[in-house]
Amino acid sequence: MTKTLDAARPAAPLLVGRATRRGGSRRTSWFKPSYWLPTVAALAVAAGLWSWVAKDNPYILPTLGSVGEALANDPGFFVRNAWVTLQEALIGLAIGFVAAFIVGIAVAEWPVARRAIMPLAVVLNVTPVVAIAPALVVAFGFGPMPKLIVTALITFFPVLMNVTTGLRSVSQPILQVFRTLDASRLEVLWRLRIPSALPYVFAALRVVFPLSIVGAVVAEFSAPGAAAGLGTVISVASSNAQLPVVFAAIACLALMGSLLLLVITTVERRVLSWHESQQVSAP
Amino acid sequence: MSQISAPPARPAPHGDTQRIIVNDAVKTYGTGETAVRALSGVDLEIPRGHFISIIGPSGCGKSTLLRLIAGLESPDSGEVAVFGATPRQACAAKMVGLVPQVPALLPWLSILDNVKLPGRVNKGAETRRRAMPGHQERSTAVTDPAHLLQMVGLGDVLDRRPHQLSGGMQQRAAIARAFALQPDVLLMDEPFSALDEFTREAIQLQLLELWQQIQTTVVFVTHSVSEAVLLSDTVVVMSARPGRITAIVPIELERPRRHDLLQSAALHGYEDTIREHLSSAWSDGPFVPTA
Repeated sequence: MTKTLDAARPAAPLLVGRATRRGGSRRTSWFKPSYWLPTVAALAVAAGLWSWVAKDNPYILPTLGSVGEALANDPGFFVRNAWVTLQEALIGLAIGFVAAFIVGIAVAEWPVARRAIMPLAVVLNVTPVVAIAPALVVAFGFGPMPKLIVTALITFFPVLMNVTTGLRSVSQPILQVFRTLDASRLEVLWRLRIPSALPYVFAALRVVFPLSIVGAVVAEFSAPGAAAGLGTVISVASSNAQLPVVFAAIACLALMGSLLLLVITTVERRVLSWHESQQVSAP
Repeated sequence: MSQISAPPARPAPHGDTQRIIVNDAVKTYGTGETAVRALSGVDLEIPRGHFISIIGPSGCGKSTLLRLIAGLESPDSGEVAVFGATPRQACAAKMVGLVPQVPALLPWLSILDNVKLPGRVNKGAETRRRAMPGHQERSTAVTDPAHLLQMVGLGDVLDRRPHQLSGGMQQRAAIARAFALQPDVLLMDEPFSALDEFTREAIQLQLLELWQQIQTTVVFVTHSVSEAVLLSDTVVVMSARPGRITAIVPIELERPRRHDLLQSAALHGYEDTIREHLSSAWSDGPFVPTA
């Protein structure tokens, strides 16, 4: 059970949250060089390495300047396509999340449902969703439908695992207090189990937000005639050997992913202010 | 649901609405050779309004006995009746308040909302409670959660979350929550065992004060002899392997009790009696009482 949680709390996304969380007050720490210098230095080194490789090998990596140029030439083009991909990702994510939450409640509340659904869910999880995408394009065409389905499928399992684990992670003494009050099952679910599961839900969201973009892009790759989306931009530009455009689109995807993570971390800090993970110890 | 399969409404095991009665209760955990007999034929009667403590070494079944009264477990054989009702009926009517060993507050609610919680779940309980035979209107001395919290010294931290308070304050909030129900019986399972000496003494007195005002029945599990004597009308001594009651010691000290009583000869006399009972019941080795 702890394994699911660990798996759902990767080290990388925490980079945003942890560093800001540590120092006593977040606002002042921004100004200290010790706070921003390591990040900036690492970025500078990465950019230097990139430029060094790109200088003599324009067909391996485009120069950063040419990528910036591609973005600057037609920013509207990238914004339009990013918006399409973002919509696919978020709507698919919402569908997958709601479905997983409902199934998670059923699985946590009824052992029969657990035995029926969990094997199916595991099979679904080990099947590479990427492999289903072309079949979905055949079935549903080039519209948004296959993209939403792939995104929903890819987000379903992490949410399901964490919701079921979270709903069961209720402290026994509190549960006993509820039982002596003869609280109904619904009351226990609503007032105890769901709030107890929230830290697990947010852990899942931090994994699933970036995954939803993966789902949307993969589905766009599989529908070569698709009209829009950053995945389409990448596959079209690749076939024309326009590496700067490819990497400009990739940069947009990375930026989108980071912003989504920033949003979810901020919301988490608000909602889970009561939870151990959010408590700042005095410096 | 067919009519035929519906079980007939069973009468309460005992008609006595003024007592909690445990009658020949047996409880075994596990099966075969690893089976542990937690309770072997325990009989106990607790009159309404009494403060009784259950004391004994680890594994003597004192927590199990409490859980039977709370309806959290059922005896393998024998009966438990809470003021003429089964434990589950009593819980359904919100007659039972539980204070576990840890505060068990909801970390996402403020202290005040935690104390209001018992009033927010199982809203049909009040009607069931009035329908109980021998129902007594509850004292209206303390009904307001904020007032209750003030009485236990938490008036200034109503809006804080549990993690912002010390362990002692959290446990006081848990006690206030249990009293907010105005329960017919308050079940406390070693509620002060995790607290330091000073905090513990302060809370003991606050508990006694609240109890004086609300006059509910208290069943208090502890492993501290002096705590048991200081608080209780009756101390029930249990021993382990198998869990059974070995002595019932009435404590005839005047109330209201204060902490200077801890130095009195009368109190020490009771402590010695209880320690004797504890050590004579301890057949498997030397007994070191925890004071």
